[in-house]
Amino acid sequence: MKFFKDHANSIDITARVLIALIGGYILANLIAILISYLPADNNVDGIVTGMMVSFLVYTLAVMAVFSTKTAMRAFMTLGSCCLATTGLITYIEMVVNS
Amino acid sequence: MKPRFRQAMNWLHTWVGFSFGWLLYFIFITGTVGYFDSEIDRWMKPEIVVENHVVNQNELLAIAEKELQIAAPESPQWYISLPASRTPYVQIQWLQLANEKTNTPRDWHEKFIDIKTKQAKDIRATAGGETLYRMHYNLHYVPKLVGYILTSLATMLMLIALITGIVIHKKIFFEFFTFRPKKGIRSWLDIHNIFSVLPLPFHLMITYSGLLLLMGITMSSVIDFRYGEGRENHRNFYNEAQLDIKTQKFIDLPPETLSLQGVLNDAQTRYKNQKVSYIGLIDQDSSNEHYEIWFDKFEGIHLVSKVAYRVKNDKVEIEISTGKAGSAAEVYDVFEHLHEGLFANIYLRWLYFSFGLLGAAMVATGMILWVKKRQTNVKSQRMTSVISIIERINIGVLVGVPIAIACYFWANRLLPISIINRPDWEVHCFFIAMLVSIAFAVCRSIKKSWSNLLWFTAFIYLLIPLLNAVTTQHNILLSLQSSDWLMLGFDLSMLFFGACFALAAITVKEIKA
Amino acid sequence: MIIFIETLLLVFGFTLISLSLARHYGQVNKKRKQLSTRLLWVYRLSGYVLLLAGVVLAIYVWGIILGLVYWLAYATLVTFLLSLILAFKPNYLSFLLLFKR
Repeated sequence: MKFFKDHANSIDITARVLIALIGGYILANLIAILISYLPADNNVDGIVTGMMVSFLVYTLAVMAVFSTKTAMRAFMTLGSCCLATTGLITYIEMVVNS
Repeated sequence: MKPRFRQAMNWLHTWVGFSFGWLLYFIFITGTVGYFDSEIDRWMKPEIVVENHVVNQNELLAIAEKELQIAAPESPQWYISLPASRTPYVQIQWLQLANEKTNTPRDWHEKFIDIKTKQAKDIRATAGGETLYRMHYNLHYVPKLVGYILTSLATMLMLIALITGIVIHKKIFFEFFTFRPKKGIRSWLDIHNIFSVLPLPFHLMITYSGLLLLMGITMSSVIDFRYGEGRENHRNFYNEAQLDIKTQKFIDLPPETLSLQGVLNDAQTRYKNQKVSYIGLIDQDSSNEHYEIWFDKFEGIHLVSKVAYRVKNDKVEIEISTGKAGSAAEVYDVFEHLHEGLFANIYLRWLYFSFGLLGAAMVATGMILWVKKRQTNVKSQRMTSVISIIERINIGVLVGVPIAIACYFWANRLLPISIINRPDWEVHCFFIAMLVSIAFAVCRSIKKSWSNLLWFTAFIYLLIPLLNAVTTQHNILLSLQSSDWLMLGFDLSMLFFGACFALAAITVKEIKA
Repeated sequence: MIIFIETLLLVFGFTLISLSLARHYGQVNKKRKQLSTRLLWVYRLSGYVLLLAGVVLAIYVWGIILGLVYWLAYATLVTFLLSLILAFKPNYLSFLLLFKR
């Protein structure tokens, strides 16, 4: 336990960096997929829109991760966002396929 | 705004900017140089014969066609470019398909036509301006995919640094014009703000559009999930996303007169006030054989799209593209054109160039600030030496990239013409020069290395016109006489940059004194 | 010609705005450091009006995208030069001090 206490700060930072880089990327992809279902001019235009917006999502996600009080809370916030979008995408896929 | 939030953003800004700072500086400089890629290309190929006067286009096409017939009779894509303002010479280009027997890859080839001798001219093998500009997204030595991903990651962090930078700047309007010289770290912060805030529209545009240009690779899982996996699917996706709206009509031109000359003459009478920049012959001797005419004109920032001529049902049909099919694709298109700046005339091009340099200066001052701030509150002996090493490497990179570019130009003139893999060696010279200057900065004392390296840079830039005069038949006076504006412009620009570096060297001395 | 008018609008617009900021007013007007509220608003409003006129003109002449590109590019150039003038030779701008009172 002593190790964790001594290096609490650097562990917190490492965790945030990982959450921001990987979690942010996953969330950006998920939101891009979600946006691509919106009605668009043709069947690829929605995908293009989604990919273009995804970079803004990534930026906001990274900023959010570093502005929360603890790394754990950042993880929870990002994780719940990811879960919610995954749920929505699954639901839409089910509706589209049925 | 909560102070804790601002503090967190400040931390993020510092470390996001620092972590990829050197790579971003490299990307900014090489990308900025890319705004003058064809001008650099002309300088690096001094054998090209410049044609400023109006030439007999039919004769010229005949020569070009003959040369293409010799060089690549079976190529599916021929292009002949006519003299234009940024490329005042005749050039032929063709696509060589991959051949497994002779083990040649699919590649583009080019030759230049000398109108006086009516022949293609031999040009020294050189990496040219294009390789220099491509470095800013493929990083040259690493595999393409790695280069794309690394530059995209750096760009992503750049975008985050820009947004957090706006958030943490307390008096963005009240200190809009503020620069207080000779106030130590305050001055560095002021100048960093000026380099970032004033060209902020450019910085945001270039960063965001840079991300968009590579989004097919970085966000490929979206295409995988929604369109289909694999190479074939991705290519189909691009084609579909880039689809133009096309309108066709039949014209009364006898199908048998459809040749390079015929098409050019028709296009010139049909579109009187537009200048043809190049002509293409696509898929010859196949069912899809057609001609393309491209104009040297922009409507807004969009290149006026090509006109295609083909024979259909024994009649000649022309096809004109009018915009993108989808509105998101249209937005993407605008960003792509804004990033590349191909629409820019010479004045706007110089502005683009200087804003790119301001971007590089923003990264550079950011890195210097990082070092200065850490020097003021060091805690241990170990930290001091780490920071000192970083400061030295920093100097090496900041001055090293300009030195590397100059060495790239020097290598073009000094490497023996017959050396094998000459283009590769030019690029090796670029990176060797950079490594050497970093090594120099690491060994030399910090006080001396700034002025040593800056004076050296000034020196090699100032000597480039002289080098050009000694090793080729081009010099400033002769270029002026023969109205070879690109060659003249390049030489004069080198003198200008040399003078700037000399000025910088003097300023550094004054700051230290 | 139009680009000249455009540049002029930008130069005067940004200079007037810079004068509406207390620090730069003090740099330019050595005698009267204080800027009265009335004068501040005269400078600020006239500056923004000129900038707005610049945007409208640019969009009218070059179309939305290219117009904005030109306006932003020249605005960056003008503000950059202006910040250098304010830092090193602020008295160059003293001719704009209309109300010496």
